[in-house]
This record gives sequence, C-alpha cells and structure tokens, in this order.
Amino acid sequence: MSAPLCSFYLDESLYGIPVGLVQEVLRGQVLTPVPLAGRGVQGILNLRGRIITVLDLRARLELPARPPDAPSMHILLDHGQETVGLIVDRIGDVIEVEEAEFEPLPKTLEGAPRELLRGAYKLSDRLLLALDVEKSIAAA
Amino acid sequence: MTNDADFIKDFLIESHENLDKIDGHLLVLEKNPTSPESLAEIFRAFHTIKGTSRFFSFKRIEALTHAGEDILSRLRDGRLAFGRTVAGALLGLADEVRGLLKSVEATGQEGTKPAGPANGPMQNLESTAVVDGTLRVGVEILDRLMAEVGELVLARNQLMQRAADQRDGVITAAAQKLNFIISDLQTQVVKVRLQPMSSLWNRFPRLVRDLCLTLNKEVKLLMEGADIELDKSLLEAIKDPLMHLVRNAVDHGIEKPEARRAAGKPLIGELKLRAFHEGGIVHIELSDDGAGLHTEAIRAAAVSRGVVTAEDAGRLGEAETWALIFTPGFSTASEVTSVSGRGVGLDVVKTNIEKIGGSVDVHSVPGKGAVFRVKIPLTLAIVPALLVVCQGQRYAIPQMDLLEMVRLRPGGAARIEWVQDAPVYRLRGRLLPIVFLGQALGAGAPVETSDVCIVVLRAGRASFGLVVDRVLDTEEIVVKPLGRHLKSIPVFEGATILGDGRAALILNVPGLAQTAHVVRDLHGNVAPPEPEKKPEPKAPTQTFLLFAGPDNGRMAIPLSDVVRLEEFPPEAFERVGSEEVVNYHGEFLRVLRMASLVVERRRAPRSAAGLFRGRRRTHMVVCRHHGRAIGLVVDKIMDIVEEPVAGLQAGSRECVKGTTLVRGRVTELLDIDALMARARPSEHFPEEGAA
Repeated sequence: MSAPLCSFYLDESLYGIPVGLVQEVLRGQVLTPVPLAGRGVQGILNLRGRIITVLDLRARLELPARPPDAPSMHILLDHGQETVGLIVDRIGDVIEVEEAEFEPLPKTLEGAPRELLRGAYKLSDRLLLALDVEKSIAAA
Repeated sequence: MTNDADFIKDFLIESHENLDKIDGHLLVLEKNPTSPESLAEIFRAFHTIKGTSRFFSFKRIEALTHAGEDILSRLRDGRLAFGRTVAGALLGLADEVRGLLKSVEATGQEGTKPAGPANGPMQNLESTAVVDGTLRVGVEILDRLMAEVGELVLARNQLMQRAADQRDGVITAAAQKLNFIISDLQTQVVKVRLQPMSSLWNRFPRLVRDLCLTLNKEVKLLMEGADIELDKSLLEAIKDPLMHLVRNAVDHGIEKPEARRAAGKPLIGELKLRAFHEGGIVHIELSDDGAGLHTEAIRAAAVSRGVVTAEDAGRLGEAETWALIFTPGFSTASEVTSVSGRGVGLDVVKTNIEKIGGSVDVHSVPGKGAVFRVKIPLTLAIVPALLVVCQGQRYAIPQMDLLEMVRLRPGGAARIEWVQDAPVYRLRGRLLPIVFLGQALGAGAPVETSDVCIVVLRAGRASFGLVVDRVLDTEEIVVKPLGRHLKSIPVFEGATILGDGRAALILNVPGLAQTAHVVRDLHGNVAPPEPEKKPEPKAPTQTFLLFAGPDNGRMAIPLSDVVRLEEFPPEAFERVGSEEVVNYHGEFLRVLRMASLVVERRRAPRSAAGLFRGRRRTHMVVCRHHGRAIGLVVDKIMDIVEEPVAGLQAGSRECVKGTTLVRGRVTELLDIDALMARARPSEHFPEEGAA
C-alpha cells in the first residue's frame, strides 16, 4: 500500500502532505503582511484575483521563526471552500511512501508538534514527518 | 413551480424572431404581392405571438397581433390588396409590438406608456438581445473572460518583476503600460458582472400582485436600495430565496384584511424590501407588518417534530425560537398552501444563502410583524477608498467613513496634544481623539508626531483622527473577503488587489475605533493600549461592560456593541411621541431606559421618572449594532471585564439573552438584537411616520 506525499522542507526537517490536497505550488510570491494576525500567519497574497491567506507552520510546530529573506516557496492547499497557502523553505519530491514504513510519534515528543504530526515514514536516508493537515491549518 | 422569468425570456426571444420573420416576408411581398407562402408565414407569426401573449395576459400585444391576423386574412381572401399603405400598417403594428416587448423585458409587464415610435423595418437590424444600449452576454463567456484576465494578471506580475531590472527603457515602458492596461481590464471585467438588485427585484411587484389576487389579501410592496449592485452569480443565488421569502411574507405573514381590521391595522399590508451596503456586506431586509412569528406555536411545532424536547423548548429564548423556523421540514402553517409549498421551506432558503457565504435570520414582534435579514458578504464589491501608507505598507480606508484630511507640518502651530496619555488634535475648536495607525496595528508608541497626516474618520456617531505616514490617492477598489484565519481581526474588513497586483488590507473603521479605545473607560480617560493578544487562549473570552440594572441586578453587554459612555443631565432627554430621545452630537438618539425595558419582578413597579429624580447626571451607554445606534440609560456603570463565555442559561425576561456568572456573581447578558428591535430597527434614528 502506498500513498503519494508532496514533501517540503522546513528548517531542514522534511514533511509530507497528501498530494491530493495540493492545488498548486508557487515561487517568488510577494506577500502582504497582516498585522495582529499572530505568528502563524505569514501574510496574504494575490492569486489571480483571489486573496489567499498564507500560513507559517513554524510557529505551530514550535520551530524558530523564519529568517527574513530566506528563500521560500508556497504550497496552496484546497481546504473546503477556501484555498490556504503554506510557506515553506524548499519543495521536495513527490514521494510514494509505504504504510509499512510508518511509525507513530515517539512518546518522548512533547508539545504542539505532537498534535500536528501523525507520525513519521522511514525513508531510506531520512525520516519524513507526516503532517496532519486538518489540524495544522485550522483557524485558531 | 413554474419559473415565469424563463418562460417570458423564451417568449421574448421567440416573439422577436417572429417579428423579424414578418419583416422579412413583408419585403418579399413588396416584390411579389400575392406570394401565398409569405402571406401564410406572416399570418402564422402573428398567430403564434398572439397565442403566447394571451397565456401571459399581455392584452395589448394580443390585441395588436389579432389586428395583424385580421389584415392578413383579408389579404389572403383578396378583400384587401397589398400595397404601400398595407405594408406600412403591418410594419407599424410589428414595431408597436416590439415596443411592448421591450417594456415586458424591462419590467415584466406591458406597461401603459404608448408604444415607441414606429421605426422602419430595416432600422431594427440589431439582434433581439440589444435593449436600450445594453447587451446581453452569456454568463459562461463572462466566466471565461474573468479566468483569462486572471491569468493575464499573473503573467503581468511575473513580467513586472523582471521588467524592473531591465536596462532597456522600451521594455520597461511597455511593461508599465501593460501593467496599467491589465489592471484596468481586471477592474472592468469585475464590473461587468455586477448587476443592480433591481434586475432581481423588478419581478416582485408582479409576484406580490398575483399572490394578493390568489390569496385575497392586499399588500403594498416598497423597495429601497434597488440600485445596490451585486455580482451576477450572487444575484442568481439569492433569487429563489428572496422570492420564497416574499411569498412567505404575503402568504403567512400578512393577515387577511378582516383579521387586520380586527387588529386595528390598516387594511393594506406593507412589505418592505430594503438593501444597503455596509462594511463589505450587502444587507437585504424584508419586513412585513403582519402577524409576526407566534413563539408558542413555533415551540409547540418544534417539540411535536422532535426538533427539541419539551424541556429544552421551555428554556429557549425568543431569538432561538425564531431561529427554529429555519430547520428542515418546519412549517406551522395550518394549511399548506399551493403558494408556499410543502417542505420547500425556510431551511432551503437558509442553505442557499449560506452556500454563498451569507446568513439569514429573522426577528419578530408578535402582532406587529417580522423582519427577515439576509447578509451577503461581498466578494466583488467596488468601493471608493483612500490609500494610505503606514510602516511601509499600504492600507485602504473606505471613503464612506472618511470625513476629511489634515496635514501637520513640523514647527507649525497645529500639533497633536496630549490629555494625560491620550493624544488629541484640536479640529475647529473640538478635541478629536487621535489614533496612531502603526500603534493600533501592533507597532510600539509613535515616534513621529509632528510631521504627520491625520485622516479624520467617522465611527458611528463619533469621529477620530487616524495618523498615518502618508496619504496616497483615492481609488476604486474591489473588496475581497479575508479567509477564516483573518476574518475575526476587528481592524480589517477585507482585502483588495492594488494596481500593481499586490494585496492590501482594507481597514474596518469601527473595528479600529473599538480596538484603539475610542471607547472611554470608567474614569473618562482613554484606556491604555490593549496588551499583546494572547496566543491560543484556553477558553474563548469576551469583553463586557457591566452595569447595574433595575433591582440593582447586574447586567452586561458585549463591549464590542458599545461605542461610548455618556452622561447627561435629566433635562437633556426629550419625548417624541411615545419614544424618548436625546440630542446627541446634533442628532436625535433613540433612548431606552433599562428600568422600563426589563419587566421588574417587584409587584409595584417604580416609574421611570421616579427612578431618576434627584440624580444630577444620567448615565447612558451608546450602543451600536449593525449600523444602528441607541442610547441605553442605566443606573450605574460598574466595570469592564473580560470573561469566558460559558454556561449561559437562557434568559427569562425579554431583552435578556441569558444569565451567566461574571466574577462569581449572577449577571444577565442583554440581547442586543432585542434591544435594537425595541427601538424600531428599520430606522437609524427615529423619524415620525414610517420611511
């Protein structure tokens, strides 16, 4: 059994989300910051006339803040009626993962990442962290 | 259920085709005056139009086409010879019919105006779709246009990024030009899809008239705000829901004339449709002066349908009971009439409106009537806005909230002054509270206070000055909604895409006033800026204004509904008819006294006047909700608290939403909707006589 995941890098960790949820991948977008929106919101962007909210998962995953001028890509997700964007460092490949290689999270992992990650897939050379998309992009 | 509009549309298209056929065959007859084929075709064409027009009761068209048939029979029988006069008469007839068809197209009725001047047949070569200099275009074509313009914008963005680096001046200039053209194209295409509400509403007078005939009722339909524009797709989506609400109001809302007379109401019922645009939302209100919603009947029906248990039903407040009518399969009408239908009920109306992101609710006063309120967030509204710069970012301020602009220069006499720690500006003798936009958006205290631009804005009845870094220009912007992560930020009401393709936030002026504390705290000072928003609070809290109600009970109202706290000497309050008002900044503000509103439990109620006699100052809370304002007179303002909203027990008195514990004491939470309804919700401020 395998399922294709769209992978991406955040702070050198590799994450994956089901490819079916990915609408589009964008490069080089100019975001408008939204004051008062909290750390998890990177800003809004104009996608062919629509306003898309772009989220920064680093806050929710308790990773250090994104350095300004860091290279970025945007993954646009289909979220019910709305398209939501994720800002990531780099896009990885589409990876076919084997369910047999799935491991739930270690009990030693605490805090927010526990809520947002389903578990990890053991790839040949590294771990791919499977993101729970629903929880990750839920509005506060 | 027949869809009149579609049938009429078909009738119009078909009739125009037949009229064109008549013209064509008349030309043939001019060359060959006895051509049997042409005579037959012309007769057939008149006959077809006559038949269908009779179906719709278009009597004038029927009469004209009958006359046309008549002439044709005489031509066929040889009783009349075809010549210039006959040709002229037939052409004139055809043109008169065209004129009436135009009227049908525009208003759904033939009208009583004399038909337009007769044009020669050759002059009317334009396609049947052209009416009054406008053009009918299929929605699919518009959708494609929109999609392609969207792609153009994307490509333009990419080009602009590179063009800036170009040394070649020609490329840069061309790219710039392309930029402007595409931005304008984008705006125009968006505008094309906007249609006025009247295109939907103009079928309603006919609908109401027909309903009245069928149901033996008399109803007058008033419409206000028909020129508000909405995207075509939104209009399509609310067409059926609105029609259903109108049917519902005439069928179940307005009583038969005998019942109205018995209730002392005018025989002719009144149905009022009102549309207005506020804060990026289009509001449509349908109010009737009928029997209103019968709360007990609704509760009983809900219990018998198993929607609520008998126990829960007893605890439902008014607003919650009314909301029950939107549940599926709900109908309290004792006879299911052919007009409103069975089960095709308000739940479908609600679903269809929610599908486009809108909401619908109802408010009623038993015996007096009901108001259905539909709210549609605008994805494609175009409003004029002022663009300003703050901290290097551009923001849009809707022009309707803009009063004026002031530029302060360093070293000039005019400057921002401080009342304790509240910044103010002297504007023509009055002190204008000042808000620094940067500060309101989370930056620290302002650095620059002497070389600034002040944008004077209106928030409810108050005004304040917003300090920004720079003022750009006024533009027509397309209001787009923010997604669910950002919707609840009070200072933003949406976003827009500027000419250079970048997104910019649109400021919500009332939200800004609120957040920046143009509301005073207890001591009459501007409260210090709110501490940084706590991330992920454990339980949702809300900020309330606490005050003492009658019986010295504790009452609360959400602070977001409060604009100001005021004090007046008792003489400031005046009576206008049965209402009480106070002169508030030059306008009359409707006043409600808590003592008279909330039924006291004492057996011997104290009079309102007695309660306030002897007090030197009366405390009034100015409340604003959905654009309407009232002044609430209370005994004593107690505190402003932030409390978790939990454990709300249904309220047992009118105007009370429920009771909860605030700081350990039982507190009644006011139902602001009910309060507003008491102040006659359809007017901003009371005027004598209905609008």
